[in-house]
Amino acid sequence: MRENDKIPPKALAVMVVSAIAELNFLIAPRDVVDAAGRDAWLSTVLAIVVLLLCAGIIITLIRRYPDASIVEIATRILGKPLGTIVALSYAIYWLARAAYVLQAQTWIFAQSLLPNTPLWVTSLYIVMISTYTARHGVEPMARLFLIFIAGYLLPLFLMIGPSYEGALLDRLLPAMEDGLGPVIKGVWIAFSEAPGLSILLILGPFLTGFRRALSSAMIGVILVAIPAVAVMVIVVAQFGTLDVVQHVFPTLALVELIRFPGFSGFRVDPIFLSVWLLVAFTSIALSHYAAASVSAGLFGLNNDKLPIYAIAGALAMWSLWPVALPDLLNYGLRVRIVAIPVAELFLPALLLTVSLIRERSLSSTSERGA
Amino acid sequence: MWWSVFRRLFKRHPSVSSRPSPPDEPARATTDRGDLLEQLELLFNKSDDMRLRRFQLGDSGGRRCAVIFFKGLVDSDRVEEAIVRPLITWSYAAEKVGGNQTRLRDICDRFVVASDAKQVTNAHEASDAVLSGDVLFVFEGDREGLAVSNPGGQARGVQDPILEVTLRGPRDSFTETLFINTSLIRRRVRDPHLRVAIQEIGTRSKTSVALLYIEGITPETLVNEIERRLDGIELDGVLDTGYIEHLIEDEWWSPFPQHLKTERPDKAVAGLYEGRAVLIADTTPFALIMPTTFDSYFHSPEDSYDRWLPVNLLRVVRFIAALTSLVAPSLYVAFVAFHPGTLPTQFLLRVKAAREGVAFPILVEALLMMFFLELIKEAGFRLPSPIGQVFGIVGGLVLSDIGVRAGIVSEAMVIVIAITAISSFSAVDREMGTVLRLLGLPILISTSILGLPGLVLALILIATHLSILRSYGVPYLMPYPYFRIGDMRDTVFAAPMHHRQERPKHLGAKDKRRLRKSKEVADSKDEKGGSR
Repeated sequence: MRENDKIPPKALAVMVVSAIAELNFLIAPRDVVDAAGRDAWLSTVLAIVVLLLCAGIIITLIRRYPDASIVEIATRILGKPLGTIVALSYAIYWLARAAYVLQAQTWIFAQSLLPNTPLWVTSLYIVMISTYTARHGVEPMARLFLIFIAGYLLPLFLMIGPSYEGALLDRLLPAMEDGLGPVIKGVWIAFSEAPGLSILLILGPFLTGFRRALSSAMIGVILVAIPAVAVMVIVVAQFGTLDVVQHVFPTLALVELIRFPGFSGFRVDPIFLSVWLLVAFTSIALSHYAAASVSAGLFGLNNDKLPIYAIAGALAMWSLWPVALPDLLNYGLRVRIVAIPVAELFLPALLLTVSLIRERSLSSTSERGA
Repeated sequence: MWWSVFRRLFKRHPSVSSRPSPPDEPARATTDRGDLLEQLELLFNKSDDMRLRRFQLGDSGGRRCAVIFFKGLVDSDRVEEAIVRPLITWSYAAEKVGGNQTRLRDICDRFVVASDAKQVTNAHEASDAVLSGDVLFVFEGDREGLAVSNPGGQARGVQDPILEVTLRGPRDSFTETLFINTSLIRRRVRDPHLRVAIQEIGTRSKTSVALLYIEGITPETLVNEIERRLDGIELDGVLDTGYIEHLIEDEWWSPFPQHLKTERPDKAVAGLYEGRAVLIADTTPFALIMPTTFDSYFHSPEDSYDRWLPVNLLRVVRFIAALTSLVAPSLYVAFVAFHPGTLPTQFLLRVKAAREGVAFPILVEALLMMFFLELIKEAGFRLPSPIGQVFGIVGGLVLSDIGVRAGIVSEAMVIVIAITAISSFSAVDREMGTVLRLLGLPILISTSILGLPGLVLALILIATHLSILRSYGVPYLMPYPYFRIGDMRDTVFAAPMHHRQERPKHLGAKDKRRLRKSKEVADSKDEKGGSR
């Protein structure tokens, strides 16, 4: 860890927003509506409750091991072999996540804005900047991403406001008409569309303290949650459930509807997509850094320079995998609905539970000894 | 870098015994205990500007002595008045009464008419004193001398600032003389805690450099760090603070300046009051203020003198201008060449019509216009000022008009580049304005490859670099990260003076409070009165 590479706990809110918000704002509405129908907004609200629970679990876990990253945490709790496997799984998970966002982003650009530009140009450019960002550690990233928060909130605000025109809120009601099943399925899908909280597992050693760490993480989740619910509501209200599932990116379709009086022919979707790159970039860079940091820990390296370059190479190669966008999205969804609940909820919960049990058994042994 | 590695690998190192005495080292007087006058004569034997005046103290049997100085560095007339005449007069008078003291200490204390005089004990010290503008008094055959301060020579007086012009505020600016500059600051900080630490930098130039800070406000860690960096400089000559700046900055490869430069004493003092340090060097009218942040390059001293409401408006204009100078050509290229759908139809049709008949692709057109702009600007600067101004206007008009008629550029591009130029010149700091305008070039190239996403990616790269950059440990983008409310009161927006009670937290000033509200002052006065 570099000198000065410390962040205050309140910076966790920024890190959480940067980690969670990415292309899911464009992709998720279709998948969640497909699963939950008109109750997609309700599923999103409930998924946020699960996300808050995840934040609570992860913060409690890293607070118990204040100077330890996931490599040390997992090793201390599960022992060397199992701990190494868990840490390695996280490294692969974050690498895969960064590669997925990167590939989806380059595809979206290719389809919407840059039809004649080879995918690898965009992809390598993003990887290069991500490497430069990750190379300098967590603290500059936290400061940078705080500035980028404007690039996250402003487009959403500008999109949601004008989109209310023509939206029929009746399309959201009645709630749970088809029972609880679709809602629960929607919760699962919505939760699977919001990876990133697990990045908190590497941030423990970088925090200057843990006071208000939990509240900061929860503020971060809420900062993602409110726009996410608003987008879900407005998408369903604007298009209706049947139309939403016909769009690959319903949010983008929503942006295309925006018209400004006096500006005939003025389209804002290229601007929206370009600005949204800021949001996608933050999650790519964070995941890149997280994967490199865990790799450095696994190989016992003091410096994460080499792993950052190695992960950059892997990221570039993975993102150049020749797969079409629809296949990428479908395949991504199938993997996500399994991988994300495991990485974001079950594994941290397992680690915390084992840690608590071991602590209790240790304390009872010492009491008996006394 | 590779060349230096290659050279190191294959460089032949001469053996120590065969190594000749290096001719490139500065000539230094020996410090052995010989005749000081002879040593100095030998050292400066080819310097025709050196003046050596020998004379005798007393009529007969008196000791022979000499004064040595460099013409132009000292006031020659005052050498006679302050040193030679009093000594000769005294020696004749003393001879009549039978006592002729020739101890340097006595001469220094009783007869030399100068504000500052010190004894030098070897030739090294003596040569340094003479070279820095002192007059050296020495007895023939002696090993010691007396360095008498007698500043003189030609120096520019205090004049109006040239680069940092303001409508309101003081009109004085720094000069090339160190002690005039320190006095300009002292007049504004009548605080005994203002420290002026002077040291010489430059193995040959021996330039006096003063580090100024207010003890009790400026953090000690900052002062120590600056002193550490200054101590590390081993350069032959320092001709401007720019030399020092390049050698002590945190990241030499960054395009962004990491010291705030100013020719205005009020701006330097404002920095001192915020908890920064100021570096002044002899022979240069530009002071360095450190640490600095990105934000401070857009603050004018005038901002603190004028009403806060118009100041805010002007600051916003400055920031928008900075952004415009950075991205205006790229935005034009992105919208016209890549995403014409984002433009209103009427406007797009006009732009497309204007581009009809233009011979070059839009990137080449933009690059040509940017080149013309830099050409006119550079030529305008180099020409004498009245001709330069006329040349700038006429050159700009003629070139753009002919360029449009010849189909080299379109009218829209001329407007875009003109806006870019005007925006960059509106920056308070000339260097930052230039940096932002020139950074527009890589952004333009990135945009010409990837359109709007390319522009955003280039901006991300620049923002990442800015977030990494530090000036003496202070993040360059402070105070924006983490939104410290107290520090946000003097950023893009300036709060009224009443609400700027604390010094910026990120500078780590020891005394955090700079303004007490009138009620607090009254209360504290009452308390003091009560305690008495």
